[in-house]
Amino acid sequence: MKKTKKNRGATLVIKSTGDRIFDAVNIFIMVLLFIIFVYPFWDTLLLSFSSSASATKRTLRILPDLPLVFESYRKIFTQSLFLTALKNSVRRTVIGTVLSVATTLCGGFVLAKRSLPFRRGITALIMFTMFFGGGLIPTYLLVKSLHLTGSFWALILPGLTSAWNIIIARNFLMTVPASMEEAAIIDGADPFRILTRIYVPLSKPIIAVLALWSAIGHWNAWFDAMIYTPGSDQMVLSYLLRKILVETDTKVFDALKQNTAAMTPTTVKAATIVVAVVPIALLYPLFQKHFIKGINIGAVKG
Amino acid sequence: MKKKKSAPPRLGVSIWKHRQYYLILLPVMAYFIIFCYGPMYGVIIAFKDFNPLQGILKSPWCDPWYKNFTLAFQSDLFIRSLRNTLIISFLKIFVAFPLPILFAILIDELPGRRFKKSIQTVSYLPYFISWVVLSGILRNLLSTNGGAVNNLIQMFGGHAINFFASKTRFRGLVFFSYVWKTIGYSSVIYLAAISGIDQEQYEAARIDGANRFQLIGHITLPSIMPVVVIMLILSLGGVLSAGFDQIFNLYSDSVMETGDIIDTYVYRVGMLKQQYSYSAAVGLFKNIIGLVLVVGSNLFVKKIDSDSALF
Amino acid sequence: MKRTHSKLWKAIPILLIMSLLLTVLVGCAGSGASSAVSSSQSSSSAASSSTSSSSAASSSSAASAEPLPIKIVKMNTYENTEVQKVLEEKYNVKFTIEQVAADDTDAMNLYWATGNIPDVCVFRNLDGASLFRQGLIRSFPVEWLEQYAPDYMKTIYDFMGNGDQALGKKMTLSQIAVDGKVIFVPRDSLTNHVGMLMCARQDWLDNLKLSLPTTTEELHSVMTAFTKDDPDGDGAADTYGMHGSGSRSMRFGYVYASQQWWPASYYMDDSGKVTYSSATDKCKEMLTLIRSWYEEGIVDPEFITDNRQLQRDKWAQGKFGILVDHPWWFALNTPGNVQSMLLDADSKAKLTFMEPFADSTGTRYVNTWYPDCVSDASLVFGKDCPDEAIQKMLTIWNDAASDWDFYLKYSYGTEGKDYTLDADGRIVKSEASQSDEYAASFGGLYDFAPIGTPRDWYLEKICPKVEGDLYSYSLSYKPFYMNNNFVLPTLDTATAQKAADVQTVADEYYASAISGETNLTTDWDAYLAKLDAAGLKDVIAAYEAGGVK
Repeated sequence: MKKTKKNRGATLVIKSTGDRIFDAVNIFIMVLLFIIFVYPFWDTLLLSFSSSASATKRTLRILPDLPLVFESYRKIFTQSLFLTALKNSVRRTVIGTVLSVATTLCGGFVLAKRSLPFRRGITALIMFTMFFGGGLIPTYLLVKSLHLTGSFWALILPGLTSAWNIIIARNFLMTVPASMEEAAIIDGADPFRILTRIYVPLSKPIIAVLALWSAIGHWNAWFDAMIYTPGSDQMVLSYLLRKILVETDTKVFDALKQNTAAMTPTTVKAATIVVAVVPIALLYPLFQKHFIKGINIGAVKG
Repeated sequence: MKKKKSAPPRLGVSIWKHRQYYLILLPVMAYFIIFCYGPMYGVIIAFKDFNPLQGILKSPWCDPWYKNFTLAFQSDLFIRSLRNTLIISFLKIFVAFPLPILFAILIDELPGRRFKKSIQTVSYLPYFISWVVLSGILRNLLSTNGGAVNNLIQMFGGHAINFFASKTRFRGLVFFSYVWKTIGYSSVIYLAAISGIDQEQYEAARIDGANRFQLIGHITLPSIMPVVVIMLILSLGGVLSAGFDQIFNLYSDSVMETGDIIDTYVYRVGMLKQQYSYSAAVGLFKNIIGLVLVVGSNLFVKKIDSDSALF
Repeated sequence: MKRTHSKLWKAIPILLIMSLLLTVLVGCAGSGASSAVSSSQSSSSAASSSTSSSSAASSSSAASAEPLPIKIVKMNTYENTEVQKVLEEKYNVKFTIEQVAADDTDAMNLYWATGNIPDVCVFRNLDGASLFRQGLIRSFPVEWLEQYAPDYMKTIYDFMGNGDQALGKKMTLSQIAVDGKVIFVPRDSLTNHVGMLMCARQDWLDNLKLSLPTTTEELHSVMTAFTKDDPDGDGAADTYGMHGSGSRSMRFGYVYASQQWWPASYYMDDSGKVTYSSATDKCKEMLTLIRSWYEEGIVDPEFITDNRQLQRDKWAQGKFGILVDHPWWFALNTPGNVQSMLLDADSKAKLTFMEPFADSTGTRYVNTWYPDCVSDASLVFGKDCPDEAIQKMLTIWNDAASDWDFYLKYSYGTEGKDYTLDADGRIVKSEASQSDEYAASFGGLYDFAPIGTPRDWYLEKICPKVEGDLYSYSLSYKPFYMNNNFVLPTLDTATAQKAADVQTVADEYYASAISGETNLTTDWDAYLAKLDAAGLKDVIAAYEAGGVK
């Protein structure tokens, strides 16, 4: 098997003027886009460090209003519920992603095998579920009858994989040349070994993508947590965030204190968002290096 | 690659030969059978007068069975929301669709590893900001009184535009804010596809004297086409879901005419009480249309290139 | 090394299979088929056996030795709080807290739809009538209300009738019953009856040497001056008179109330006839007025699309000079209140509250909601709830409403630690007592008896004077009801869709008529036709048939 060196930045090819202009325009566009993409988060970040007096200003926030106010973050980190929610979200995301990716890959791998009997039928069966489902009530009843309500597994199992992801994984795995698989079969490998020794190493990009999608899905999911595990010790971060952010139009103004969102200062809301986004933003490069060319070292593709 | 045409193996033998594949498939099928087909009987809620005490199976059937479906269509405002949904969805599926691909290609072409990484990471950030917050930022930026965009317009001699109140501009607002939020996230799958392309092809073509654009057009694009086609077909399945969260946070009475979609319409009707059968019927309708589009586009794609199709 | 490696990978699919099979086995060993009825049947049989035993016990009026089990849905999921233990001991009950996000409508709808039936449920934003007609909740004899909770009912009648007990009783009884059977324990609070107030920037008035507006015409002049005469003295034309939205309940406040008109509202006259306010000539008149203000530029044109957050940000930044809001949001002690927002950004600002405008007969109105004692935190009981449980809950609510020390201790905690008293002797909660940990460990009476604090206690002992004064001020004026002046019946799906459509048409017209997109004179008839096409007549017929005044 030949190894191909990936370019690590400078190419050995002489660039033409056309190439240079292309690069220049590309960089210019990207810098503009960079600003546009960063802006919402930057605005939120600055807001989280503002005092309530400057929080209501409607001007473009470019520079922070000094001095920085840490009150909003203090309010968040001293809440025990926040730390519980963070812990639960991390736990759910890690376990959920690992199981989800493993299951999806198994499905994609098997369906990629062109000689598999009933392949089309099984694919159709799986795809059917993409369009038709029983809905919330029967799904809830099922989860309840499996005694999963109130359990951590209710957040993992019902969404373990999906037709969408399996199809994408399947198509990706189908691009692996048949010659490699045939070589392995001649060597006497069984399907398990083919999957693990050949497909998995070659599929790092798609694994990274599936893992990323799954991780983000779990991190942001709040509705299933609200329905299956509403207990406060099982609170997840996205649900907590939603309660802090989303205002509903309630009439009740007294001690029932129902509408947390309406009374939380905008600065604390902004700080909550920052705290929820930062972990994902920090972890992202770990996934990213697998699907950006020129960043990973020594990818193997014969 | 054509297979040698010999006598096809007998079914039983073939199944036995593939037994380990089936074993690997088992947890996947177990999942679908338990969690997808298990609750599938719930589809009939759309045809019933659901009573929680009797449960789905024992609740009485609607009279006539299509009552919930015709009910929705009796409303002119529902029809209007259907129209808006289709328009906005088509904007998102056909106009917005190529953009992440273009973005992925441009990123891939960027010189400089660090810049590449950082712009890609940063492009991801808006996806994590919820529509609640993003709409607040947008209102800020687009305000007629001191908003950055209108300031710019006025600097060039134009009049301030109230984007949020303009029926004609609302769809544009939805479109651009949608691209803003999702382009980074959507580009990831295409970046992954690009990273899987064999580098030798590029080197060989460069030696032959190909320029940048030819490299992109003749190598990059064709190589990722299977992924593009799949994503396009799959997105068609969701054509009647134009993005509840986004519209809900951006729309207002002034733009209902062009901005109200099926999901926001049903939400307003459903606010009065538990309308399970009604929303189930609308949901079923959406899914059937989605299925028709997916199957239809799949057949179309099959005629062109059978390998790229879904099934 | 290779061997173990592949064994490990082989293990994963097997592990997955095993875990899925295990869950299926465990599930099948349990309640079996996923039918809603079977699960509710098992809980109902348990409840009915306790009913028969407890009714025998209550007839002999001896407290049963066994604590009465009560399955309760309350507004949070905290279990075994201090207050819970106190109540369990005092009333000899054993609460099981249902783990459901009861503050979320979707979660509660799902809860009922999947066959869960509690004994007691603190109820909000759901449709009690249909739950009752579907057989999920039970009714109880109306006599029990005054038998077990006489003091509590007096406070309810006081709220509902705004001091008039007889009127309050009549209105309460008409709302808590469905099809002639009483299903709700009513719940109401003072703040629901307090009407919106309008205030003006006194510092701006002083700068321009104007006096506080007392009529709509004077308001117009003041708004014009606020827009054109640079009231904040910063040399820039960056201020408006008013904003005009905020939420559906604020809008133009006194301007509408003094004309006895509110958008998109259903009003029933004494003969039982219902009219839709957005289809009347008065509507045309009011929209013409606001349209002229919009054209003159004295109202912030973005008010049509702005949400509440934006309106408040603009207010805090001094972008307009007149604000309509609920006194709760004006009170200086409310977190995030609109006065503090403004003062934080501009310490020199001063506010004065305006007196409600008078109508042609000289009566002054504040706009508020029609009294409603069932939609917010009322109490309903599941179909298998034992009689004794209902009686106990009524007793608890009654004690909460009549025993001041009991109420104080278990709603606010200990003085010095959980709260302090301010200069007027009113309660100031400590920061610690407002945290989630406190709610989870100590809890509060409001979990099990979320009663609206009786008027005297609230205004004299609890509510900070800055807040209470505003309430008293607002309550001294006659209420004008927004949205409806009678109890709206539940609509079936077809009519509900029509009602939603009618409201959409009315809201759209409101927005486009004011902004000038549609012409009030030439397009009016087309608009009325659109309302009819949306089904207005059917909605009105349904309200006339089922509405109760």
